[in-house]
Amino acid sequence: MNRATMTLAGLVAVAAGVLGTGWMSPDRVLPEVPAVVSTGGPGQLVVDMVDGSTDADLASVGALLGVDLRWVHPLAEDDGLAHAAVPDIAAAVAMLVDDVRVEVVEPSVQLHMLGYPNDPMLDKQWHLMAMGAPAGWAKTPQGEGIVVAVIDTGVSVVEDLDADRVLEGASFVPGVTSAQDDNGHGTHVAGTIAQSTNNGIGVAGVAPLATILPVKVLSASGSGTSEGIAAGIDYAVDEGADVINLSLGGSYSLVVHTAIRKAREQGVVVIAAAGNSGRRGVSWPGALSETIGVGATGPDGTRAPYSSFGEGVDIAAPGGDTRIAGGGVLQDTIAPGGHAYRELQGTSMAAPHVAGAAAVLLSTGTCGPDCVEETLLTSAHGDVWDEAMGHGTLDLERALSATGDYWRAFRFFLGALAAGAIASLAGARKRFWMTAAAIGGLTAGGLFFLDNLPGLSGRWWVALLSDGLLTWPSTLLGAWAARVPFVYSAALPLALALPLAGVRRVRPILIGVCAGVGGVLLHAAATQSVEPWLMSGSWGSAWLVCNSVVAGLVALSLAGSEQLDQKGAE
Amino acid sequence: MTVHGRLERVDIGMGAWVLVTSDGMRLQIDGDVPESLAGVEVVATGSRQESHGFAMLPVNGTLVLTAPLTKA
Repeated sequence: MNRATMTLAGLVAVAAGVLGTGWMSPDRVLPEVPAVVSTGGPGQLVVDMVDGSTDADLASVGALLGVDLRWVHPLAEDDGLAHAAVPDIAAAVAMLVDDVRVEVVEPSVQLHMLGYPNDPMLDKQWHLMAMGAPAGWAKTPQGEGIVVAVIDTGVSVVEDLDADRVLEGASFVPGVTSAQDDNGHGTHVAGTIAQSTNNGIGVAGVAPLATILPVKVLSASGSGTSEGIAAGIDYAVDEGADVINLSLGGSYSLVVHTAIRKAREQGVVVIAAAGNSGRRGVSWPGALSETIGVGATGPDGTRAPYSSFGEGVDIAAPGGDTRIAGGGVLQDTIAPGGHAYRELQGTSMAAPHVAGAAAVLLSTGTCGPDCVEETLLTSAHGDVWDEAMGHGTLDLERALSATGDYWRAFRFFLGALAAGAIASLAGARKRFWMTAAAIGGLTAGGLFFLDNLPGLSGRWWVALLSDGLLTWPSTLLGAWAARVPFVYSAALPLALALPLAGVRRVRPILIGVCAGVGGVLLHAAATQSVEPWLMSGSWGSAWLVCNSVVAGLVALSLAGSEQLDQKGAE
Repeated sequence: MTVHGRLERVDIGMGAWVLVTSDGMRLQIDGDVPESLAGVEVVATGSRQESHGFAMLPVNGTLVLTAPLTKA
């Protein structure tokens, strides 16, 4: 009992000590403010007039430049901020730099929020901002390694969709052999999920590095048969889809239900639109318990008027409202003569926001299919379930935060407790098992709170230290590294323990690493968050569990050696 | 089956066509519909099926056209 209390006190002390270090105010190191360089040629000039300047002062400065100088905004007049297009930026700056009516003059500079993509039409994609897509772009693998099946009218590669991330797919429409889109709906849906992002072209998508599997089940006029849809779902599962998006629906079909049930049993996350009746009664398969049924919201965040509601709505996401100017969901899709950026509305447009979010969560490697479903719903904005919005509106930022913070903290304490417990079996001194517990926690969960401290998020070394040792390869090299079998294995504990087992001084560290790795492997097996290459499903889980047992046994044998050495010394 | 009704264009997804008959039945149209027929009374010939598609509208089924639409 005394030992257990001391173990707990040690863990709290470790956490508090590390937290305290994080909150200390460090000496600030700041770069030198650079001089503004004015190049020649036409451009936009910004003029900060002295306070109290009037319209007449503005007009006289404008007349000096020979341009129509205007206030930046009616509310900027008090601060004297004005701008104008000038034929020669350098000449205009030289003309005003010593003018007593002017405080500052410089060329206008395009600023981008850190971590934001440079897609020129991103500012029209209110729907991506509303669901927290920027959090996915900033600090995740952006869906890399995740296959999202778009079961729809087909998908065509357009200007703003990376051909390398679109598989060949298949068609289940009679008489149509290719999965190319002949309507535009499927390509638009695929764009919301994985539009090329930060490429300086067009618009963005939720999970730009996800791979799209086109499955054509709807004809050029947007209709399909239940058997075609069921066959398309089966095909997507066979092709290794991690997420299935069904922006379609209709009457209940047992063959479609059976196909979806099988997909879920294979660990596929299935997202389906709720329907566009504007009435109570959700379309099938959106109403199934095996799917995440998605209702639509407009730009104001409330239920879009066309969105079906009632039992079966699990979550709401932006579906757009084209009655409002700029209120639709904007993506690149096919159009006569090539492609076009089109605003569409519908629960069809809402579902792929959720599918993209699922792909982002899966690509983090910290959350398996069940965890993804639970996290999407529990992190949604909403107090209690209601028939219009389900559990609330989709929030990827909160979902990422929930999975990351919760599981890292969970793994930290799991590793710490496992290591502390095993080390205490050695009957060694307090310092021995406290060291083991601390190392176990750090190995399993890292400094899990570090990236939430002000000013630290977004740095590579913070990302590294904020999670356990086994996540380092994927943080440094990409999500694929987590699937290399020897990463999530007992290889590291064995590699350290075999040569160093006889060195008593490092034994608590070794026990900590072994127990920490063992705990993480067990956690990964339980959540199915890691699937090593060539070991799908239960084979992958078996690999993780076996390696966890090996790591645990190594830790136990180290504790045994320590006990023997102590007795020998006595 | 041959049905008489008025064609409605519904702004959902890439757009869908619904034929509304005089007795209130609503059938989604699967087939070529010229834009110029929006709001026009037409005669439609085709086979009626259960409705599965991206429109997900409150309809009584889908009419898969087997012949071009004609004005009533």
